Amino acid sequence: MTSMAQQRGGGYIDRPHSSSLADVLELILDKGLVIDAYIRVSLVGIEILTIDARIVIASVDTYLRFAEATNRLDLYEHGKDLPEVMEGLNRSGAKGKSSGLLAGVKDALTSGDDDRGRPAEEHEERPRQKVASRTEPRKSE
Amino acid sequence: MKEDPTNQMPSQYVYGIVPSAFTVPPGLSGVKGKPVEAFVAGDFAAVVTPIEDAESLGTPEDLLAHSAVLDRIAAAGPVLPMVFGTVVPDADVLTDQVLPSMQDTYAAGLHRVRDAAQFTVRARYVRDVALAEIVSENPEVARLREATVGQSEDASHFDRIRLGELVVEDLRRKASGDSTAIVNALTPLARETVTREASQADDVVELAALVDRDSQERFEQEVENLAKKSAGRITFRLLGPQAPYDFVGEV
Repeated sequence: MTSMAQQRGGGYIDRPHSSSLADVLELILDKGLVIDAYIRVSLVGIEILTIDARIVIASVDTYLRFAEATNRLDLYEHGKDLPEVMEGLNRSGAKGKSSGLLAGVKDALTSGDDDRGRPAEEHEERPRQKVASRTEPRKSE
Repeated sequence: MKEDPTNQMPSQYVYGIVPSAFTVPPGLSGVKGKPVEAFVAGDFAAVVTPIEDAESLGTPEDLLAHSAVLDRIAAAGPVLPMVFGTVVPDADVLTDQVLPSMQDTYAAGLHRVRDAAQFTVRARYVRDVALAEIVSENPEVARLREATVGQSEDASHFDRIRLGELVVEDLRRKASGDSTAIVNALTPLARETVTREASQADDVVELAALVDRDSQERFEQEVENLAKKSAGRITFRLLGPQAPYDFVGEV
């Protein structure tokens, strides 16, 4: 069982006890055996916004996110103190709210910060850009 | 499907197809927290949950339950996962139509995944470490970083886009090299592998592997070795044993 497998190894890998929703969405949705069409079958399901992964990677949003991350490296290297770093973040965050485009940047940066602290959950951030579910009123991204 | 008052048989949510000798693992609960059952016909059985209101299916919880049931079964024996959301009108359809209809497909599919389970490996860069590498390796990236840092986002908008574009290109170039090493290390330990398309710019590789039960420990150990070797630079996430979602093939 998964519990048996979970603790195996020396701790360098992230070995979740069970798949997260993001894992399942990326790996499992749309995969599997399909019963012959002549049998009366109804497929219930989750609506997927089919954003091609390649398009997401090669997008201005992605470029701006990575430009911002690269610029933040500079801040770390030159040893600016935390208030200055935070000031920069707040500035870009406020802009993001007004422009819309940069909201995604802020979002990405925020989740990036979370990633470092919570590696086991980093993939939780992923489904929001791909998936919306008509049967999921609780989701409020 | 509306409930027919003259028909007391519930719809059946189908998780997958297993050999007829299958027994439901004790305590296994399925979609909507309901029990999991198996219907046998001939050499095969369908693993199902009887469900009255199929229209309510399709939530994230249902999707997680679908995979949890299949992964639990796959940890013990072969299973052919159905695509999520497969519902048949009643048990008779299972035993009279679904199970008899594709015997050859089931036999071939179960033979393909016999004595094996799927593992999924996701490797991803530690972002700041990879970015620092790129800044030191690519003079144009270093120049654009100097040109944009501290500038207002409006003033440096196009430089920022160009900077990000170059960084993403370099990340993808790095990934193609690093992923080859990972795939080459894991492929000999797997019966079959599938490399999935990157979904994030800082993904290194996402690999689905069908691994013999006898090789599972070695496979896990090799992932651990790879993670140890690139600790601090690449993170590894390992899922499994899972049902063989990537190895069901075309029907």
